[in-house]
Amino acid sequence: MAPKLEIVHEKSKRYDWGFDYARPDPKFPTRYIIPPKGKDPFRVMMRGYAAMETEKDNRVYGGLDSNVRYRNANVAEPRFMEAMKFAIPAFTDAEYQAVTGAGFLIASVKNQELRQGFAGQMLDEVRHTQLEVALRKYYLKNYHDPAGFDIGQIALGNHPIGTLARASFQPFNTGDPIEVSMCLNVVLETAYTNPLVVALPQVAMLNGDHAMPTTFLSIQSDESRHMANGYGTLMCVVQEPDNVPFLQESLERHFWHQHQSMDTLVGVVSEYYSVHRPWAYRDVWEEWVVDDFVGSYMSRLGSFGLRPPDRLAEVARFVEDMHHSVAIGLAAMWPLNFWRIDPMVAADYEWFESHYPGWTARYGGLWDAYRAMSDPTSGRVLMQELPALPPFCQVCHVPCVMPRIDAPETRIFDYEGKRYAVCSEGCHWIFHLNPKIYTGCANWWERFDGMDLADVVLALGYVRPDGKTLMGQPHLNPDRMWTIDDIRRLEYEVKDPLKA
Amino acid sequence: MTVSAKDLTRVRDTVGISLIGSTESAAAVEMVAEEMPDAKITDHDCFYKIERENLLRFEMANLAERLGRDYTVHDFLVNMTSYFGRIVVNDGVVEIHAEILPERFQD
Repeated sequence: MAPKLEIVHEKSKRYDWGFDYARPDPKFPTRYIIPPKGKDPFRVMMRGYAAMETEKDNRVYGGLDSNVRYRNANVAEPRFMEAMKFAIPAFTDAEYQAVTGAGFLIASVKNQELRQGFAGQMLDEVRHTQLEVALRKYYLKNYHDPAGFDIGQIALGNHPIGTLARASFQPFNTGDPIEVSMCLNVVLETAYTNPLVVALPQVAMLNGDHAMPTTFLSIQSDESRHMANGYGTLMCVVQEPDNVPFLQESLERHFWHQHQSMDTLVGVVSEYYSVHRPWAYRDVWEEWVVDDFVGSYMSRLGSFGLRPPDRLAEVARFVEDMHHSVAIGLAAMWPLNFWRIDPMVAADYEWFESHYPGWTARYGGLWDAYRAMSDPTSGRVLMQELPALPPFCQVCHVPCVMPRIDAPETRIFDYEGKRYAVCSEGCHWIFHLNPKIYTGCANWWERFDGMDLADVVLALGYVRPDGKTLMGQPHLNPDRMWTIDDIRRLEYEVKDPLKA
Repeated sequence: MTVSAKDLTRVRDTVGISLIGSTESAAAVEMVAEEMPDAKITDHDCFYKIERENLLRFEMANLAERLGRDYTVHDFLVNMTSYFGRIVVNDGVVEIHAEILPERFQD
């Protein structure tokens, strides 16, 4: 009979030692007191871990094989499949950044039990990267319009809003190790992977794509252990009263930032890239973030002096509108995308109006204009019709159309002789917490200021193998594709909105 | 009602688990329906979400009996895509507690 898990786990974690002849400097400095204690709720042991992950992989790859047999990639709604061209590389960016994040924590948390959990996490993140590349290859080989899947990671890095992923996930492995855990384990993985990797697969399923849920629900089964890593670390440090103000600040910072990127990503994909919608994103956010994360977790930490994020009500206000604004923003600048965007039609208008009263008055006219300009013979693109291009937020990198495109709360300011824009009070506060983090990268428009739009598209590499047809298209019609010549005929010069 | 009109920080005693759609998860859902009738079970097409006040408890021996074969906590965790509350994994049992510091975490 195999020995009990509890007994083996207790014995194993005793294999730990420190130095009594030297006091090595910490590999990564921290402002927190980290007591040498803490518990891993899952009692991760490598033998059980390896068997479990092998079984998970067998199921996912078996699922992909059956999808190939049933030609599922072309049964799925093309509107949804186009979203996977940018969503999967964004996920992969997160996994890749998290690999080193787990390493940060292994080096910093002086507790064998928690380290074992982080060791499992590091392997998980590598597994997720590989699964997502396999999923992307499956789409590339089997979907009828693969343009964009082939250059996904590079294309995301070049995309004006694609840098949202880098901005959002870089804190996984920079700065204070405890704040790495707060950002990665507590905020992103516990609060936001649920809408992203549990709720969103239901949208994939209803829109006919069975590969995405098979892959991502398995990935999320690992995220469950990462949530527990965050819990073990948080409960270890929150019991030191001097840590509490730092934890509160960290929670505020990462909750606002992850909300800006994740609520935008999931809201846009689930509502604007689906034909069949199981829910309104606002309701999903309320269920998984407000009820499950805040109500059943953060609100219970009051006895330790930690309170739910102060900007929670502000987040709730933004969630009503922000994804609608970004969705039409992405559509307006469609030549700068590496995927296609299907125009909204009457059935979509009806759904939006019933779930977000007032939607038609606010966004309907813009979608009417987008649809009217979708054929190359129109000779116009929606971005030409805007009074000015919106700047991108220097913190979260979303376009400054937040929370409503008709009433943005953009803040423009100078810092050390340079002009910056942020999308909101929350991002303005984050910028000034540590400006050095946010002043190192150029604003996207700045890179292409003064260039013809056609040359920008070529510089980004967003053309198909024929060298002239754009990857991005403002419709799903295979016969009426825009070419680089159509774009050059627009004579549209990109102008940095922050340039004096 | 818009989200921002409700009490966003209300403390809840609810715990929950999400299970990937599979024959094994179907057995767990059947077990919950029979033995924890106060639990709320929602079918989300490709996963189930199970919620209950204060505690969810899954005994692997019970699930093995229903499946007609051996079933370990690691098999169960292959199917568990997410949870909320405080999870405690023991030999043959997975529990999710509402309290912030269940017994195992109190020292």
